[in-house]
Amino acid sequence: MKKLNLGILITLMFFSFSVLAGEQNKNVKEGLSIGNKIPEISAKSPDGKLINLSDLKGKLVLVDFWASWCGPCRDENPWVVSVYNKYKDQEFKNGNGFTVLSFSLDKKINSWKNAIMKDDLIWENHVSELKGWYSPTAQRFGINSIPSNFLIDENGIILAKDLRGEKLELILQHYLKN
Amino acid sequence: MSTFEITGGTTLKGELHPQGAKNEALQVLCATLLTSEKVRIHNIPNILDVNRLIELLASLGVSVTQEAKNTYCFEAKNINLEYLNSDEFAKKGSSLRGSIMIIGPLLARFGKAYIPKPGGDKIGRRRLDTHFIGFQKLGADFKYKQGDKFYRLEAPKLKGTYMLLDEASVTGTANIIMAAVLAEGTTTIYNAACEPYIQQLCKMLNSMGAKITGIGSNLLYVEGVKSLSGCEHRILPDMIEIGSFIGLAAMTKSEITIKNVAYKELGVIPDTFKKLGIKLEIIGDDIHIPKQENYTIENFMDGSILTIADAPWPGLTPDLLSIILVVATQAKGSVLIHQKMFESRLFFTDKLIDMGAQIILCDPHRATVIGLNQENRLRATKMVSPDIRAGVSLLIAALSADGISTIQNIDQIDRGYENIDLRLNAIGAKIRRIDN
Repeated sequence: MKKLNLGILITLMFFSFSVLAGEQNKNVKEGLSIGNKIPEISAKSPDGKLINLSDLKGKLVLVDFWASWCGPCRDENPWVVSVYNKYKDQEFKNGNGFTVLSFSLDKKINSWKNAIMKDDLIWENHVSELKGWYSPTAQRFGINSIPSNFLIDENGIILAKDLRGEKLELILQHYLKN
Repeated sequence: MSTFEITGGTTLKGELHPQGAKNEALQVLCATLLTSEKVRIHNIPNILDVNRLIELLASLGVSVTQEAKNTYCFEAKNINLEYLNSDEFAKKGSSLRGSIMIIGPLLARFGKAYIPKPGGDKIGRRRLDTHFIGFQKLGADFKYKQGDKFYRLEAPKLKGTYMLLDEASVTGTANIIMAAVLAEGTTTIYNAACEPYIQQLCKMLNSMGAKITGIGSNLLYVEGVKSLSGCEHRILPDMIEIGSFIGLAAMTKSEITIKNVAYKELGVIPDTFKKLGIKLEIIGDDIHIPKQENYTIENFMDGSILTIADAPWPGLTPDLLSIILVVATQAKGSVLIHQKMFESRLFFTDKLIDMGAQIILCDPHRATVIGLNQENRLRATKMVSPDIRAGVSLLIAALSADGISTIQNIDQIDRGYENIDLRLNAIGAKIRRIDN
């Protein structure tokens, strides 16, 4: 009898944990820490098209804050390009495919466009408010240092931040579906 | 020593742009030593303490390029560690408190650091124990012989560890973080300072490839990495300057807009001024202070007299208490100013009393201010600036006073505020700089 009770208790506990976990997933707090849901970004592409971060839902997304005038960001770009090409169509445990949303802290549209071309940043999602450090989105995200990036899963949950060099690829490999 | 001659009693009108924060600048400048790659820093204030630190970095072998008025690029590729043994370093380093923060980065990257015993403000003794105990816990050997001009630290390899700081020292926390980012393993720092400028340093280091979590709290985890890369960084606006401008506007019955204040990062500062009855409007990221004939100090909810005290962040920064004290002299009502963190910062109240302010200096830490409600103006006088913050407080008092005041030893003000005379004159102040 005692054993049976214990069994029921354990089952109940499991059940309530899984219910709680489910609830948690729905009500994840919006924020900028790992485990938070990333706030929305809505800004315009070089040709004036409005792009929302939420439009990319379902994929793993690297939200990358950079600028054409930022040397260290430009040095990072080859890493991002090679990772993008290698993983864009891969399936992950927490997302179907990988893409990049590049948010530029440029002020001049031409410098921004040229850098995208020159560094071969072939993904579609390039946005900017063309206000440099004073871009409202950058201020909302507390961005005062670049390069700065956030890797998010299919639901916009922040998985990692500030991945430089080979770290981006290492973490993507970790999430690859076998 | 230079002097300001201030014709008081005029109202000001216009926009003020806060400079970059000095306390952040001193930290992030030292952090450029952590990488051989280029680090570009924007919004660096052009003030004495900061310029001296930049000079010191250059003497250490950092290649420094000024690319715009407040933008510099640093590349710490070829560091000359021998400089640390030189007499010149002993002289330059000891006159600059910020230089203590080169130890963490040098120790982390090169395994050794010497620093002359530093100087700074005369605002009570500031110990450096927090720094050195932290480095020792990370595995550094600390050597100081009596009579030696230098503190010497050496560590072939730093190792991550747990540490509980004896006080939440800002420069101590910054120094230990900068040492820990390149240490082997994870360092846990409890009772860490968590003010916005520490957060900025952590974010910059993460942008350079460091792994710091817990940013904004007093429990930081620093996972050591092998090396750091370059980055671009922008320094936040100086919250002390923003607070000073709010006080200035109220005291001189002026309408002033303070531009791009990074309002989110100001903590309790705006509310503290509101408690003195000062009206503030937030427009975008600007603070607009309307012209006010008078302002009334709030009481506590139970009707008792308001106390304004300093505390480590997120409490009120001690650097603004002298400004708040001056502003209270013309408010309606009374307030007790309690300076808990430093002694001898309230002695400048003597000067305010000479000018006609009603203040009871209770002891070295507390002063009661009975506001004059703008009914009697302060009287102009001759004074000497004892330290940076009191200097600006006296400047604000002089701007509101009847007649022509002089403040000597304004080098103390120049140490913290970039061209304060020119910037205030641009919106109607009458300040004349007399260079001796």
